[in-house]
Amino acid sequence: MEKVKISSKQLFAIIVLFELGSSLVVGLGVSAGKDAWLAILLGWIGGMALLWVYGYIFRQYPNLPLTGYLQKIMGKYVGWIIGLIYTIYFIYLAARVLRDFGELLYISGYDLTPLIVINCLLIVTISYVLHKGFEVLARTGENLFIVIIMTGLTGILLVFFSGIVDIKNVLPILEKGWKPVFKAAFPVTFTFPFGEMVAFTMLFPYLNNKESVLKVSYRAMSLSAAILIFTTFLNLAAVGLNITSRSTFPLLMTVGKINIANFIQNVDFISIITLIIGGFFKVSILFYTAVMAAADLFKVEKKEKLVLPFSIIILLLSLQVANNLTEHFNEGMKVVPLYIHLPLQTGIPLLLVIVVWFRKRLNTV
Amino acid sequence: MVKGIMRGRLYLKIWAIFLFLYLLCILCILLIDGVLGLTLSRSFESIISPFKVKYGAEVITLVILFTLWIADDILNYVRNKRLSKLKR
Repeated sequence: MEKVKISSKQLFAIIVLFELGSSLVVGLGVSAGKDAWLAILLGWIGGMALLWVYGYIFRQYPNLPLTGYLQKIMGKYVGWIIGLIYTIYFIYLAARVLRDFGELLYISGYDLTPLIVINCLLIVTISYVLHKGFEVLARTGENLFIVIIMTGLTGILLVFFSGIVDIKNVLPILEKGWKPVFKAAFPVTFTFPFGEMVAFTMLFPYLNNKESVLKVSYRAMSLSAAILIFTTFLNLAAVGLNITSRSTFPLLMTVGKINIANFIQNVDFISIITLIIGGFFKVSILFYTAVMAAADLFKVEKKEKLVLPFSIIILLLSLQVANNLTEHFNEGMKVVPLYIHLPLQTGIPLLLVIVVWFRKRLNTV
Repeated sequence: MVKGIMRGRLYLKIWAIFLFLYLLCILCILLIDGVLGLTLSRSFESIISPFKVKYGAEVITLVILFTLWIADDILNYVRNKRLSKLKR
């Protein structure tokens, strides 16, 4: 098996960038009202449990990717078909995230540019990096992680210094009890972004430092949850629940309100840079996992040959996935978490754990 | 000759995979639209006409990106050829 030489630091960086990706853009857990940050906290707890499930199967088959051990556990044909479903799932997710970022750029500054051009530029850059290999992506991630942290910190400081943060906007906590918080956490914040770690089950076996993989993943997931909770808290405190729940991209609204002494204004570029970097990594990783899955299922030795066809599929799907932004968000919040994320992120991995556990008990593994 | 045939087969296989997966993805989109309650004609609207391109500076940027990519690949190819010649 081909090994990808990436360090623990690089893995940590790409997991954080992947998790932040599109979840920073949309108002995560806003259906829980002022307790949106609590919904993310609950989602993170569920996500950690889910990561344990992925880790358990990975420990049983440390040299096989998801598509490989699916065939071992479920049988050659059933496993292959489920593997194909996962391949389509990764492509579909990559297309959805690409659409998210295309729409973000369209709304924030490129309103005269057609969506296909924006998406095309993004996908060409991504496919160029992936054509060079995953190690290149990992090294880029390590460098851009520092950029993200620096711009994020600058943004937070500017928001605080401009005096728009009012803690009263977030109080009282649990005004309507736990019910709306649980409703927002399961399935939405649990599956998006934490459950999307299922994509990494395709990458873990190819990494050279397998012992630290799970430890690093837990840490990276926790850091990204902390960043998401803090950002949501800041959005609510700065612009209030009313605007946060109604705006398409709440973070842009918050940063757009920065005004220090009528001198530092219009610093939207800070949030745009952060979001573009996150989006770039999310699409790249989903794209790469789709390529890996297809290469494994269809026995294609030269994976890089699949990059161009897959980039075309993702680009076209990103435009075909919905007629407009409202439809796109409706699908993303109502249909996808329940009917696609839940079975593929939780259902099938849990089924695999049960089968492996029973086989272990019967000593047939 | 054999190498050429093998390469041709690989490309055919890749484009077959491309078409197969693309059709399955379209089916997936139709199913999701159906679950959301959209009619088939509405779903087909975005599937059939995804292109609404206007020509502008962005298209030129895109062409430049593609050219850079191809140029880089050609350079790599030439470099590898030279290296293999030197090794011989």
